[in-house]
Amino acid sequence: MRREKKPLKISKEDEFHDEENKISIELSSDLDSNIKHIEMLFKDCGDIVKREVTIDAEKNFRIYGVYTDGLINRDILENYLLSRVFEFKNLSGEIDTDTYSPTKMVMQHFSATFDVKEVDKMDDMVKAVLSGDSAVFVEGSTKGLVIATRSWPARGVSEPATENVVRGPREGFTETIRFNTVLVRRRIRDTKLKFKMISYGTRSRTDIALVYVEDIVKPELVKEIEERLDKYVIDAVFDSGYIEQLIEDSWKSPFPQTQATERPDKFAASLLEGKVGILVDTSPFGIIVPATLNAFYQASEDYYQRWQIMSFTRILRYIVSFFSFTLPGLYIAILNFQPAILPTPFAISIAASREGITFSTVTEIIVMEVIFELFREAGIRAPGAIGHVIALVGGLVIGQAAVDANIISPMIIIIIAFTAICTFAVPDYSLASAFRLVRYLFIALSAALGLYGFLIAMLIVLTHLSALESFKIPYLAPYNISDQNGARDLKDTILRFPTFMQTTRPIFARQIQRTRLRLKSKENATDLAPGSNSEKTNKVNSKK
Amino acid sequence: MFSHNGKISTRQVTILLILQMFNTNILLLPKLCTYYVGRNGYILPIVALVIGILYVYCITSLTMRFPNMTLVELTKSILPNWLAYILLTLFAIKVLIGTGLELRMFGEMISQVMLPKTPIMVIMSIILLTTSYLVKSGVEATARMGEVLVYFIFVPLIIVFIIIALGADYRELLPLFQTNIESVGVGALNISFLFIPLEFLLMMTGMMEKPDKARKVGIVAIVIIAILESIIILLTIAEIGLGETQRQIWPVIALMQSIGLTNSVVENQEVLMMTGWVLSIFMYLSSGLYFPALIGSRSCKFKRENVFVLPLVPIILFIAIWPQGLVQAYDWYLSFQYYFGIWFLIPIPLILLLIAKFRRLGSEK
Repeated sequence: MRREKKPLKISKEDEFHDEENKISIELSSDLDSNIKHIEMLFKDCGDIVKREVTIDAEKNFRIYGVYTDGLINRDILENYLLSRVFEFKNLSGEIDTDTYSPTKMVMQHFSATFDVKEVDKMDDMVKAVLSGDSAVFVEGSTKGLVIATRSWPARGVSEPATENVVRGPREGFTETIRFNTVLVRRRIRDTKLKFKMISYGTRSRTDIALVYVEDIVKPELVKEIEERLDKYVIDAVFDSGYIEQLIEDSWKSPFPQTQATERPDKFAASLLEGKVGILVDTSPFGIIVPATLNAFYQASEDYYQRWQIMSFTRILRYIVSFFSFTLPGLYIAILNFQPAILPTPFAISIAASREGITFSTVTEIIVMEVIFELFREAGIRAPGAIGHVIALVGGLVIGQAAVDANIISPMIIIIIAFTAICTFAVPDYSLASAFRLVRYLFIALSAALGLYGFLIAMLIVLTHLSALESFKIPYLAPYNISDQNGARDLKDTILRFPTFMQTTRPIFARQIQRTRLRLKSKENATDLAPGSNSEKTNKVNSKK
Repeated sequence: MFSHNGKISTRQVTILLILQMFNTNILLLPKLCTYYVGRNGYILPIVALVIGILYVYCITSLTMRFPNMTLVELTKSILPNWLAYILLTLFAIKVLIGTGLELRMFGEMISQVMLPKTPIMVIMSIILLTTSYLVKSGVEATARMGEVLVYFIFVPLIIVFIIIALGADYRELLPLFQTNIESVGVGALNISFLFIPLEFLLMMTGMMEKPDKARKVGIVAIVIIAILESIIILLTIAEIGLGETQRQIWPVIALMQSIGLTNSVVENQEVLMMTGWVLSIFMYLSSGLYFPALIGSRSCKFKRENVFVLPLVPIILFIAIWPQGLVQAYDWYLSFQYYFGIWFLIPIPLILLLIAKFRRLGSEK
């Protein structure tokens, strides 16, 4: 008999929470009842500050404030709410409970801040408290007030660690989602830019923002992301990596199917292409979907520098990324199976360098690959200065010693070192990591079947990439859907065409929003190329 | 967003057809053509083009009458079910035998050029299992794969053509057009069998986003292939000479071996040139595996279209190991194509078309 799936129960004995850990009790008009519930919910929570204030004893008009110590800006709470309450009490003013509801009255009389709102669920009140807002319960009201007071020690905006540029903005995302939304909003000052906020994780209650430009994005894409997020109930989300792995198309693939970036300029540019961005609180990496292989080769700087230089750089990136996963396999295949391919002097030179080496080429390659991975891991995990020492000691000392001891041949050192440099030239870390893994497939098949095995490995990888999709967009787009969008998407692939030629948005955008660059007026200029208008205008003027 | 509807674009079908026709036969083609018309062999593909266009017309006249239908659905709607199943089984068997023999020739070629010590069974099994991985991913993935591979196959090939063309001795082609018409006719008919993969249009038209473009697709594909074939034959004769072309088993490999690039990083580049063919034959094999599997699953009305893929792998392997060697495989292949190649190119599509017209089935447009 098939067992039915049980809903995720957080705690069987907890009468306040539902199965998704949301607070199920309702707000009461009786303040004492609300206080009792809050006291029970926050029992033994030393960081929660609670206080009851009586505003008018005769009318039993009381409020009860709750906030998390350290998560709020106390100035806002004390200067713009509490001080006004006490000022009112000292002046023994009259309160008008006939005109306003109790919560409305607090808002109108005492709250000197714009960012205050009424909520009608205990869950929203508690969530606000845990997020750094202040909650105010009012006697006689089934609604509560949430005052935006969020403020906590946070890392400021700094240069992205993984996506450096020579030319371009130096701002990177931080761990605070609000800073990140600001960085995006600064770049797209359009009312169509939407930040759809979601709370994710039953315990972490992490804020997630779905970011898109409403009239450019295809609505079905946003819906698809929401559906994929809705599919799961998870206890906590600590980084955008969690979301990335929950919404991707194929969990079996080593290739990244969403694009992670620290750069707000790249993030904003993707939104204007019709993609959807996902920002996760506590993560300095935004996610962009859909992601295609081509997108991983596009660096922000490509668009800030001259097209000729950046096209050359892109060609280089494609070539080196190819070598980053094929070179060791290719070396094995040629050396072990088809050495006749090599020019004779070169083949003799390699054979001479292998003289006295005990291990086979395959063993040498695998051992060196594993050692290099070890250096990489140790270099990352070790504290800053020691990391550099490990790389230096590993690379120079051990490498040289291994060659001197005839354990490995010098050619292997060259191959592995060159492959490693190629890996670092791949602009996206996730893609480079996938290539690192795929490299072993090439090594294994080349070791078994030479160049034929190398070709088989190539076919397996290409087949995998051809079948792979990211949010229903083929992963190899636009290369293998070149007849879509009039092949215009190919203008931003291996070659980066000049900016004035990139007149359309790619296939991700809605059909009616594909134009992104056009002439302002055809009266003065008929050619999109910069500089050509003035020449034409001058000619026309001179004729006149 | 793209939908998973099993539809492929016009360009993708064109590329698939080109890659399917650019198979092992190309390596033998100069030998075959020079056998019929000597040093004028390069004219045969161009003459065969006329016959090829006739094939396209016969097939597409039928398939365009039943848009969005593959051979499975249209035979069932034209013929009684039992007869339709017999016809579909024959088509599947024909494709499987052709694929098996092609696989054997491919295995022999790899064995000769790349892996002389590896058992041919291993070579064939591995490529077939890799093919099944692609086929299991569906027709959309296969079509996308074709669009990617086309760069890998033809860009190096064009570079090689240019290098050979610059150093070839064109006096080998003289005297021009010294052959009799009968040889040209017989030769062209035989060469036109290289267009046999056109029969895949019987299945692919129903999967096209724009089935009304099927005819154009078929014609564009065979025109490109005929031009490519002519260039290859011409360069082979000019580069290695008529005698050597007729003597070699794989004259095109001999052509590749003849390239000498001074001071290049690669000395014996024919192995690298072979990679293009490996990729192209991979696409042919994938079609040879996909369409019989599709016929099986659609005939049995299975929801999953890849149910029959893995069971067909040992059958194709069994067919591939049946011949004693390369010569027998090649003889069988030629005989098989000669006797059965044309059936699904002209007679059967025409008969089905006539019945459909008689019974007023399908679209009259």
